[in-house]
Amino acid sequence: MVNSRFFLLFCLIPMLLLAKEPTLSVGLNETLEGRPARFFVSILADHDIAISTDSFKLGGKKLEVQSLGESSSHFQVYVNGKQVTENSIEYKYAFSLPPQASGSYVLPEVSVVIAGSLIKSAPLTYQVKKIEQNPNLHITSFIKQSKPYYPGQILTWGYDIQIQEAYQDFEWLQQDFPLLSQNFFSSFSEPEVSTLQKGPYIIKHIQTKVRVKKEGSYHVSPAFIMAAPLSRGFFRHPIIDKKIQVQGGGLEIEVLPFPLIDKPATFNGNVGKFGVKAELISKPQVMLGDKLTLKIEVFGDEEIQFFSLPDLRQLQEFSDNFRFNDLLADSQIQDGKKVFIIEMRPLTEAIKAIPSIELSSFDPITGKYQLESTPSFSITVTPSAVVKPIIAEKKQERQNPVVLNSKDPSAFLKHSSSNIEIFGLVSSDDIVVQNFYISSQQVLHFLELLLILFAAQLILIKLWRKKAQIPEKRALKTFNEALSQKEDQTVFLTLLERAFIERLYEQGHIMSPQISYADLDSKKSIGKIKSFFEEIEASRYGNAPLEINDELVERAHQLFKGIK
Amino acid sequence: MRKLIYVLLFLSFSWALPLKAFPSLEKAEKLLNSALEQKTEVERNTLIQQALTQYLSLTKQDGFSHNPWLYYNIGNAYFHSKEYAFALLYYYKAKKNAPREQKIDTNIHVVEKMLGISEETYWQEGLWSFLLLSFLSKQEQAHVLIFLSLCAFMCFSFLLYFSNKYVKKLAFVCLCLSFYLTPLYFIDFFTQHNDAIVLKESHLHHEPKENYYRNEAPVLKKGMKVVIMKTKDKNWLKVRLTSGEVGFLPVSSLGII
Repeated sequence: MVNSRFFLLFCLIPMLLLAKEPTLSVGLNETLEGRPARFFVSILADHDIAISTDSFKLGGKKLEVQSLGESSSHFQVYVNGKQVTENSIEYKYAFSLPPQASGSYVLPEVSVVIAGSLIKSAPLTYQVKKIEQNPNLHITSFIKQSKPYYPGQILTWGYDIQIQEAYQDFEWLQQDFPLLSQNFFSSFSEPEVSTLQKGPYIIKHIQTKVRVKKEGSYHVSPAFIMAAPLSRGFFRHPIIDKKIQVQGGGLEIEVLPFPLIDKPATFNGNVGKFGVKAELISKPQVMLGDKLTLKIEVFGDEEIQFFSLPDLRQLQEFSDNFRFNDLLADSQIQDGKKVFIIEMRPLTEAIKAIPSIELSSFDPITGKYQLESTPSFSITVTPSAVVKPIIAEKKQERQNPVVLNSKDPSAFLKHSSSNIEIFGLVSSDDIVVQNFYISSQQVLHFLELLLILFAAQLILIKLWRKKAQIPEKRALKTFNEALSQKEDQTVFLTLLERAFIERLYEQGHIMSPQISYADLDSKKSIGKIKSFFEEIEASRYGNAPLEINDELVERAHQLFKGIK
Repeated sequence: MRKLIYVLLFLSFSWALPLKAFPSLEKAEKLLNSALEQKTEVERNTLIQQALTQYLSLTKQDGFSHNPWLYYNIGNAYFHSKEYAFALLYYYKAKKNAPREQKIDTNIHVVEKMLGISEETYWQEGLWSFLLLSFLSKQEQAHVLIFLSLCAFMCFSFLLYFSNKYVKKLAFVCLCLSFYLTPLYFIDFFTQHNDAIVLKESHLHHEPKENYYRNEAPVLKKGMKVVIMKTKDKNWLKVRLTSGEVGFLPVSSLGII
C-alpha cells in the first residue's frame, strides 16, 4: 500500500512539472450605445484548477462575474515526431458593464488568482456603436393606468412596436423587453400579443399585467430590437438584408405610499373599489361550542383577487366571544368575486349576535379609502347537550368535570380555555400502577415455548414407547406361545388376550398393559379386537362349543399384525 | 413446608399486585387542579406546564408506560393549555389502553369537534369492531390469548396420556379461538403499522423531501388520524390517510399513538 502511494507520487511530480500555466482572455460581442456591454472571460488550462470567483478584478477593482460553466477537450499534437495527447479545459465567465455612449473605449486588464498566482489578461480596446434609428421600426412603452401608483395596484403595461408595412417580414435577431422580464413587481399573466393596422404601419401590441409590490422609485431601461428585413430571392428563398436596430420605451416609475389621512384602523393593504355581501350559512340557533359558518362575498375591480379579510382573532369583539379555526379562512374566486368562508364557535351562552366586520380598501383612482361593513347576525346559543347529561349521570362516580373544578364557574368560564365541558381528572388514588406489562414479543415467545414443550412431549412419549417395545417384543413372544398351546383352550385364549393387550401397549394405543379386553375402546381397529374376543367368549359359553381351528388362528394372526 | 410453598407462590405472583400511587402523580394532580382555579391566564398556564412536566416524566417509568388514566390526565392538561391536537393524541393513547371507557370517548368527541375534524369512519376501527377486538385493549388481548393457548396446551398434553371426550372438545375450542386471535393480535407487531395524530398542519408529500408536494395535495389538519405504514428514514414517515391516500409526512408533525 505504501509502495503504491510512492509510485503515484512519483508519477504525479513530472506531470505537475510539465503542467502549463493557465491563460486568461477577454472578448465581447457587438456593443451598442445605451445597451449594457457584455464581456466573456475564458481561462484555459491543461488540468483541473480551482478558481475563486471572488478574486476577479477589473483594473484593480473587484469584479462581479457570472460562471458559464466549463468544457474540456482532447487533441493530438506531434512533439519531436511523436503523437502526444493534450488536454484542454476551458472555464467560462461573463460580466457586464453599464450602457455607454458611442465611441472607443479601453477595457482595463482583468485579473484572477489561480492556485496562489495572479493571472492577467491584456487590456482590450472596443467600440460602442451608435444605434441608427430606422423610420421603418419604432418602439414605445405604455402603462394603461394613470399615475400615481400605489402598492398592491395592478398595472397593465407593455410595448407598441410600429413597423412599416413594406418591412413587416422581419427576421428578429435580438430582442430585449425589460418590462416583460422585470422582477421588482409581481407578474401574474403571460404576455399577450396582438397586431393591428394603422395607416401604412402595422402595430404589434405586447402587454402583460403586474402587481406593484412596494413603494419606491423604479427605473426600467429601454427596450431593444435588432432585426433584419427579409426579402425573397429568385427561388423565393429568404435573403437577410441590412441589419437594423431600434431602442426606446425606457420608464421611470414612482410608487407612492398609502396616504395617512383618513386611513382606517382596519386597513390591511387592500386596493381597488369593492362591494361586500355577507350571509350566515349555518343555523342561527347553535349549541355552545358548535360551529357557525359565515360567508362573505367581496366583488369589485381586478384587484379583488388579492383582497384579504382583517384577522378576526385580533379584533376584541370576536376574540372574546368566539373561537376560530386554526386554519385561515377558506377563500375562492368565483365569477369575479372573492368568497370567504369563516368558521367560528361561540365561547359563551351570552353571545346574542355575530358583530359586523369592517372591511377597508384604498382606491388609487380617487385617492381615497373606502369602508364597507358586513351586517350583524343575531344568533341564539344554547348550552351544549352532548356532554352535560353524561356528566350528570356520572356525578356519583369519582369524576371531576371541569366546571366542578372551579370554585367560581363564571370566573372559570371567563378564563378557561373552553367552557365546553370535558370529563375531568382521574384521581391519583384511582390510578392503578401495574408493574407488569406483557408485550407482543413476550406473547410470541410464550406461544413458541408452548409449541416447543408440546413437541418435546410428543417426542419423549414416542421415545419412551419405542424403548418399551424394542428390547422385549413381548407381545410377539406371547402370541407365538399362545399358538403353541392350541390344545389347551383356556391357556390359549388367556395367552392370546395377553398378547393382544401387550401389542396394543407397545404400539401406544393404550397407556397400560394391565387391563383386560373388556376395558378396550369399542371404536376403530381396537373395537375389532374387542369384538373378536367378545365373539370367542360368547361361543365358549354358548350352545356350540368353541373349536380352535385354522380359520380362528388365521383371523387372530391378521388382527395381531393389523395393530400398528 | 406448606407455609414455604404459600410464600413462594405469593412471591411468584407479586408482579400482578397493584402498587401504591407515586408521589409525583399526586403532585401533578394537585398542580393541575390548582391551575384550573387560577384566574389569570399566565398563572394558569405556568401551573399546567408544571403538571405536564410531572405527568410526562411518569410516562417513562415502569408501571405507567401503558396506564390509560395517566394518558387521560395528560390529555386533560393539554386540553386546558389549548393544545388540542396533543390532547387528542393522549386521549387516543388512553383509549388504546382502556377502549371501553366512555369518559375517554366523550373527551375525544369534544376535542375533535373543537378541532373541526369530521367524524370519518376509520376503516381499521370498523374492521376491529367486526372482529370483536375493539372492546379489548392490547394487554387484555394478550391475557386472553395466553389463557386460551395455555388451556389448549394443557388439554392436548392431557390427551397424550388419557382419553376424555370433554377434554378433547375443550382442547378443540381453545385451539380454534387461539388460531383466531393469534393473527389479529400480531398483525400490528408484524406489519409495524401504527396510528398517529397530526400535530402540525402539513401537506401530504409525495416524496420524503421538503416542499415535495403537489398543489392539489391535501393539507392535513391538526388532530387528523393517519396510519403509519413504514419508516422511510428518521425524518419522514410513510402514512395512509383515512381517505386511502398514501404519502409522506415529517416525523415532527406526527404523534404516534
